[in-house]
Amino acid sequence: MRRGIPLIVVMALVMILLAIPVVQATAVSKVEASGQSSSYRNINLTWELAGPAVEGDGFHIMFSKSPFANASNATLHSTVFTGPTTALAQPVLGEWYDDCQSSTGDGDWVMVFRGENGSAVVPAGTVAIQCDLTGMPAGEEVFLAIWSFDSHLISDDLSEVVTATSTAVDELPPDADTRPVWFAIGSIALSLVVLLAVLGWKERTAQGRSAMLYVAPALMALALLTFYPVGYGIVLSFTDANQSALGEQSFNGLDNYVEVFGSAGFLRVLGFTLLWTVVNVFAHVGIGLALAMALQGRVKGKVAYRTILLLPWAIPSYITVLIWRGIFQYDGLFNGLLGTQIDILGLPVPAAAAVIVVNIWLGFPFMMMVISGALQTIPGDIYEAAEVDGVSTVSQFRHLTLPMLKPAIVPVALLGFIWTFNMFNVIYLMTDGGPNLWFGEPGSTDILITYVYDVAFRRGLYGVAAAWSVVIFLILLWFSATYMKKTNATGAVV
Amino acid sequence: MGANEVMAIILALLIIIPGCIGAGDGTNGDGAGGAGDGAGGGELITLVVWSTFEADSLEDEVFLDAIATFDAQHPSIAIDVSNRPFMQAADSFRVAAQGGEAPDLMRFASDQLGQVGAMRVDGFPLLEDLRPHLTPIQRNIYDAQALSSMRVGGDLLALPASFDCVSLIYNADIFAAEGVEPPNANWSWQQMLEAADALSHGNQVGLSVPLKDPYRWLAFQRGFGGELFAANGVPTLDSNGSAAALEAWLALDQSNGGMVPTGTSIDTMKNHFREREAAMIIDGPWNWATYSQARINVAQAPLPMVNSSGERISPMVTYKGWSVSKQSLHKEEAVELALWLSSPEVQKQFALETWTLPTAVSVQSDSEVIDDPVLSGFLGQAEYGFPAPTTREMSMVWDPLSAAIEQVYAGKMSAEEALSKANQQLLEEIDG
Amino acid sequence: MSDLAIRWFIPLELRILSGMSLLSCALLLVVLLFDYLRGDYDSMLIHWLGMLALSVMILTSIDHTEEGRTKRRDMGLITSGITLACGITGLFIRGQEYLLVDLWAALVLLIPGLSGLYLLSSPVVSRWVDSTLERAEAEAGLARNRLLLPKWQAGLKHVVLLHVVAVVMIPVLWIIDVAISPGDALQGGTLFSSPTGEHFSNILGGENFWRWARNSVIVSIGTTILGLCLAIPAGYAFSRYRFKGRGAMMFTFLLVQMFPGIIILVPYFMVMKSLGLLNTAIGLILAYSVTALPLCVWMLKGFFDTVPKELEEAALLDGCSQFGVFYRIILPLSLPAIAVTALFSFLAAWNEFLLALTFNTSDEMFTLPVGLASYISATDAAWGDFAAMSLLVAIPVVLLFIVFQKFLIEGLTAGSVKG
Repeated sequence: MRRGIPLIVVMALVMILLAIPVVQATAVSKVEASGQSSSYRNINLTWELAGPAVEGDGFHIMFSKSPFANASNATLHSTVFTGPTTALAQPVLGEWYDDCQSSTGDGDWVMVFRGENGSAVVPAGTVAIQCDLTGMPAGEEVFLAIWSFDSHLISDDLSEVVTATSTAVDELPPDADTRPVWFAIGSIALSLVVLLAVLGWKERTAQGRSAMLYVAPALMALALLTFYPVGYGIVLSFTDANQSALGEQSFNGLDNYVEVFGSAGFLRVLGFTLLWTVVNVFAHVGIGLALAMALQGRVKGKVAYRTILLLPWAIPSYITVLIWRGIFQYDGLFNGLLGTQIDILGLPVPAAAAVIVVNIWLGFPFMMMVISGALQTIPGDIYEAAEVDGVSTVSQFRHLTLPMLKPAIVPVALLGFIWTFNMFNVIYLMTDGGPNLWFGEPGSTDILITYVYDVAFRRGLYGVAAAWSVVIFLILLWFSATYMKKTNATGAVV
Repeated sequence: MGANEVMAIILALLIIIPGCIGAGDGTNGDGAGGAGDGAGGGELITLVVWSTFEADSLEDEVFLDAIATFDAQHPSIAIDVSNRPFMQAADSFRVAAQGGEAPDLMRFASDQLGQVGAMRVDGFPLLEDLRPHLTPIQRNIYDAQALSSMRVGGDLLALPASFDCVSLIYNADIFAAEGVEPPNANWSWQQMLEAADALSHGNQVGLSVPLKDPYRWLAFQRGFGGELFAANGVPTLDSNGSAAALEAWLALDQSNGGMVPTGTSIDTMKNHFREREAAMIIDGPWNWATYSQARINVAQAPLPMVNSSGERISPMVTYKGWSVSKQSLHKEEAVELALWLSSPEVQKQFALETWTLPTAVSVQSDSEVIDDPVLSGFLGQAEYGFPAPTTREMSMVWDPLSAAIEQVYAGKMSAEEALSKANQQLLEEIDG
Repeated sequence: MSDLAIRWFIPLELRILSGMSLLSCALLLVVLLFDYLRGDYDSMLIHWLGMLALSVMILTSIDHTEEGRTKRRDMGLITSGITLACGITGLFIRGQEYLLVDLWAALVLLIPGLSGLYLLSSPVVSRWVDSTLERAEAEAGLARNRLLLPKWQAGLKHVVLLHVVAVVMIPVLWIIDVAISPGDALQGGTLFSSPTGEHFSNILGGENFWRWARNSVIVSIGTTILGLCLAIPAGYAFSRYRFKGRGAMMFTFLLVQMFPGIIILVPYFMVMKSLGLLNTAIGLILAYSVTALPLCVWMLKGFFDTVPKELEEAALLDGCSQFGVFYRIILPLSLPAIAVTALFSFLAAWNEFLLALTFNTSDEMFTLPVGLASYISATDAAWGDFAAMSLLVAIPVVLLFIVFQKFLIEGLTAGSVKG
């Protein structure tokens, strides 16, 4: 942080200038401006002096979008001083696009020196100066003039006003092309229509045909919005896409997958993801089922209970997760209530337990609601019959309730599995995958999805991240297929 | 049947409402994304600005005031301000930019610029190099370090409007009550430790700092003679003095015989201070208002000197400023607005009203600013600070460094070993 | 007949005791976990002992065979005593500085201990144990059981529920505390000291909140309606009809949820841009409906499955049209499912953050969650306003739930079937 120094230099410069005997400022004899330079918002300005400049001469470069006869109606672009250049630095050419060169008449153009405040300094004896002026309006006529002054800073000598137009146009990146997307969406929609039509045509019954019509809107909405992104993600996983060359990726075969499977900690993060998912889903369904059963029938304050138990779902998880993080902090409520001294979020196993507990807390109300809803469809008379037959409560539950709940629980549990597997927020906000005891590996509470985020957005390796995503996709695909086969979830009531 | 009626109503709504919404939205479908109509003269230009100020905060108010002023002065420019949540702002900018819908103006922090600056879509960067847009006079509004902190690979990607750094903040009442000499500008690390020890008793902590926060540790690395990157940009997490810095830092933990309670996080530290349980903390000016609201006699001193190295503990200084999108169709106007938002007038207002630290030379030496003890204190601290490098590498430092701190904290590795492993990891990630 | 009454009669006390002990055992598992976390191995030992005693107590109280009743009763009394002793020792072992948890752990042991001593020494139990019950007494006892047992069971149920409510409410109370405390501290300070409404008036007084709320309401209601519109027919078709590609189609609904969303944000954005849906309510409604579809379709399919096919066939025979069957029979019977699905769709839209942020390049259509997130900045956050707004965000959901609750009341279904 250097404050004030430029000011000091200016003052020093002024002192030096004042020490020199009074001379008339060297007049500007000719000014030329050209907007043909190659760079954007740039105008080249050259001015020649009536005689060699002496120390103390200074030149303000003034510009305006409208003609001016008085310097006070124009804007100061920069200043060129005449003075000793020994202690000053010569900037790199093009460093700020505002290179100034000076000539003493021998035909050689020399880079000017720069004072600390960026002012150009030229040696005495200079007869011509040319500057690339930055910050000029583009594509518009600009009026320019040199306002020269002498060492007493009293002269008011404005040169002729010249005009130029900077012609270089702004280089815009190509507009993001939506045609391939249109093409993709169009072909998805078209093939879906054809597929449904063919399937419907093959159906023999009117029912089968109307089924196509019933399913079509939902399927169409799904396909239009999500097929292209997912397909894009899959394609991306076979390319070397990374943040410094997006749009220019090329296929690199299975390299990304080799990297994924070969990456240190792959099995560890996979293991924790599975643990996280399985524990959460079982707890969600178990607790949800228990609470739904407990709140079934005549219970005092049922609405109040249900409403309170709904709160973890109703309050935005963004804040509840942060509150839980506060609770688990070292001086937080958890340690306070228990009188323990555990740095929960700082130790691998407690941190893992904590994120799981929080996600269970967040997720059980939904399961409770679903199961509560499902319980309503069980006709009450079945229980009455069972009661009369002396069937015990336990076997009523096992042989009546559970089978009746199965059609509702099975798909929801599967979706719960998929969601939990891909649950990003809780871990991201609670621990961000930490504590991380490994170098270049996922942290101890990272699950696959949070690690994918790291790979993509912190390290910019989009191709590799896409490969991780495809791995997640395949795991879930395999699991869902197996699960559905086992539970016969797609079975229809016919 | 009540249920049937409900169903009938729902079914009726099913048909009506989507239609209404569709009709209602047809009218205001366009207007965003910076892609307004051509730049022809006289037409209204819309600039889309993404800010990241905390909603409804004082900063947000000052910012919106500044926007309103600009708006009033430029009848041909309409400004569409959108307040993006800070945590996700950079991500959502990247997505929008890849989709060709980047805002014209976006507020970035200097430590985010390295990564955004390294991005290329179809060979084009996402942010405009502002150098051709600025006259030397405009450039020289800002202090040299602020300006260079916004440069990535030579390109100037943002105009610095403010900076952040941490410093030593203490509760003057606690020092006075216990008769301990309060911190001064020439304190040594040893003196500070002694005072902290003297002030630690019962529930009270002499010094509270989040020991696992790599950002604060970097100040110590400097203090003990280490540095984050060598002059040629090669990471040097394991440089001379770094290991000593990490050891001294973690020795502060209670479990290692220090006075900082185990598991202290940034939130915990703030709490300690607010509840008058901490005499000293290391924090930035942004929480000053919170502390003074809690009626604490807050005071500030520069971080101390380390005798063994002869260096000062120097915090990392990050800058926040305004970037112009490469996709913007109205770059001249966007730059004009960026210049206004980071102009001395606006900076001064920010400084005096919200303790936002200024980057404009004239504001830094403004008498009203200097008369404010908080501003001048932090400006003084910043003189001993070091700017956050704006490189892609900088954004990669955090993960390995945190891992190293965790390793040493858990007692699994020596500081030297952990830092050299972290550095190795960082090198690998930079290459690959 | 008289023998039967005597043979059937089991004193209520034993049933109560076994239930209570079982609950205590379950709670003791939590107590033991806490002991382990505190490294308090003395207490742990005592709690193990208490658990052992309780287990024996359960065993003695669920075995009702005639032989050995005396022995089991005595055993029950002894274990009650041990439980009681464990509870008291557990409290004393912590010395003066016991916490709320210790008190709670002690109660977990003290209550079954004391109850055991009291209940097992009651006259009815003694007579039953001695097999000296008269017929009239046994009959009266049976009647009493029928009357009181459900009450006791309900009582135990409430104890369990209250524990769950406590766990649910702790973070919620905290949020309330942050929302009504002055300043912006996320933690620390005493609970509910110096309450203030400043955060609520900040939020409600600003125009932002109302704009976000309006957007959220439009988007969420739109999502609910569109989601149901799409999901009900599809779910019905999947449930009732067999057709080619049915399994594959059902699987397709799940498929898209399996791919991590964050990695495909850019192509998703491009789709929305191509369709001209950026910065529109319709865009968000569509996106959220699609997100909610898999669950809605699958859940509705599951519920439609539980509606007996015979009802439908009967109605068809009665001359009802296909739509009539669907409207008059399936829909009313599936109201609970539709209520849950609607609530789910609503919440999916109401609480979604990432897409609402990404698909809005201008903040005109920002929804409440995005607004909420903008209270957190780089270095600090307005936690007070943040918490107040979170609560405000939750209120409509709770109200909506209370409305939908109507559909979750049992009897409705049974009534419809009969009528």
